[in-house]
Amino acid sequence: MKKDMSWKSFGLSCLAMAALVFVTETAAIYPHSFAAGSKIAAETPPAAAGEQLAPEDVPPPITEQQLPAKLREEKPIRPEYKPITDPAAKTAKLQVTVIDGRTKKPIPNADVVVVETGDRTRTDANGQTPMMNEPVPRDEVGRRLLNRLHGQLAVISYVNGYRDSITIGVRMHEGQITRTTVWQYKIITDATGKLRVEPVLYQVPYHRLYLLQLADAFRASPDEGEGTERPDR
Amino acid sequence: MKKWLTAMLAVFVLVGWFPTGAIYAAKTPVHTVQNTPLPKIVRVGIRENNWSGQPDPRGRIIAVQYYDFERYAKDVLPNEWSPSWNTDSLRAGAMAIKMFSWYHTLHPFTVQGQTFDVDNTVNFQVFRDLTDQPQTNTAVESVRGLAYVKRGTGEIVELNYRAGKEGSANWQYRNFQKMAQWGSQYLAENGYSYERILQFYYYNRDLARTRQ
Repeated sequence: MKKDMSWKSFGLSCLAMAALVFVTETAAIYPHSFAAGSKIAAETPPAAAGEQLAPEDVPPPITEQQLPAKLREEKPIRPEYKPITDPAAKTAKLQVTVIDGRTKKPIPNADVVVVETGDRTRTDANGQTPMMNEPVPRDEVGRRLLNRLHGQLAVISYVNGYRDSITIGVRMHEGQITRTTVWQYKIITDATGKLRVEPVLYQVPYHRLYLLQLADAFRASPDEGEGTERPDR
Repeated sequence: MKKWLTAMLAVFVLVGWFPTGAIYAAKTPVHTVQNTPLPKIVRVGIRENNWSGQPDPRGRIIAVQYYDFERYAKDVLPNEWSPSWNTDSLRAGAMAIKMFSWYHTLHPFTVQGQTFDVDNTVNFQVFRDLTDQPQTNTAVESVRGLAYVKRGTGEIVELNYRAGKEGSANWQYRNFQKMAQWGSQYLAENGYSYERILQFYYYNRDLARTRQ
C-alpha cells in the first residue's frame, strides 16, 4: 500500500513538472498572451502589412541621409536583364489571349509582356494580342541531350483589378503559330482587407512525349522503374 | 440436406451462368456508325492536382465538366501529339482521339459517385482546357464527318495509341492494335497519308461517314 502511494505521488509530481514546463515555454513563445488583458491579446493576430500599427510599433522616421551609403545608391530595376535580340535566331508567331479565369470571358486592354524579349502589347476587344514574332528559346542541356519537341517562353499579363498572371513554359515551335491563353483572377479582399495579393503562376508542363524520352534516356536497363515505353500496356 | 444444397448449387450455376450470359449478349446493343450519332458533348472528369500543380492520374475526381465533342478533341491533340509534326501524323492522331473519346462516351465510368466519359489525364487522353493550336485544329476539322470503325459491321471501337520510339515505324505496335505516335510521324515524313498510317496500325478497320 505504501509502495502504491509512492508511485502515485511520483506520477503526480511528474505531471506537475510537465505542466510547469509547458506553461513556462508557452509564456516564452507567446509573451503577449500572458500579459495584462491576455484574453484579448491572444485573439489579436500579428500586424499584417499595410495594417494600422499601434503607436508603440511605429518605427522612428529616418531620412535618406541616415541610410548606409550602400542602400542610398540607386540601382536599375533589372540590372541583369538582357533581352534576346539575336537576329539569326529562328522565330515563331505568338498570340496571347487573356481571359477572366472564372467567367472565361476575354479581357480587353490587358498589358501583355514576353519576358525573354521584353516585347509589350495590349489585347483587343476579343482579349487577343496581335501576332508577335518571338524567338524559340530552348534549354541548352535539353537540346544536346534529346531532340526537344519545343522551346519555351514566359508571358506576364497585367490588368487593373486583377492579380498579375505569369505563364511560364509556353510551348513554341520554329516557324509555327502558337496560341496561348492567360488566365486572370480578380483581386478579392475579405471584410478585413488583410488578404495578400500576389501574382498567379500558370506553368505549362513539358510535353508528355518529351518526358517519356527523357525518362528512357537515363534508364539503366529496359526493366528499371516503370520500364521503357512499350505497346503491351 | 446435402441433396438440397446440391440442387440449389445446380440451379445457381444454371441460372447464373447460362441464361444471363445469353440474355446479356442479346440485349447489349452494338454501337455502329450507322445507328449511333456523333456525340455532342464529352463529360470530362477533372482529377485533383498533385503538389506540383499538374492533374494527378490517381487523384480524386473533383468535378465533371461538359465539353463540346470537337472542342474536346482540339484541346487534346496538341497535348498528345506535337503541333509541329507532319500534317498527316496530326490527322491520324485526330482520328484516333476522336474514336477513342466516342467509344468512351458510349461506355462511361462511375467513380466515387461521379459519372464521366474520360478524365483529363494519361489514364485516358491528356486534356488541357483552351490549349488548342491552329495546326492541330486544322487536323481535327479535316476528319469531321468521318469515322474509323470495324470493317464490315461499322462498330465503333476504341482506337488506342502509345508514344512509341522516335525514328522508326514501330511496327511492334501493330500487333497490339495501337498506333505509335512517333511511328505516325515517321511514316508521315516518309510520304504516308493519314489513311495509310491508320491502316498500318489498325487491322480490320475502315473509314466511314458519320451520321449527320
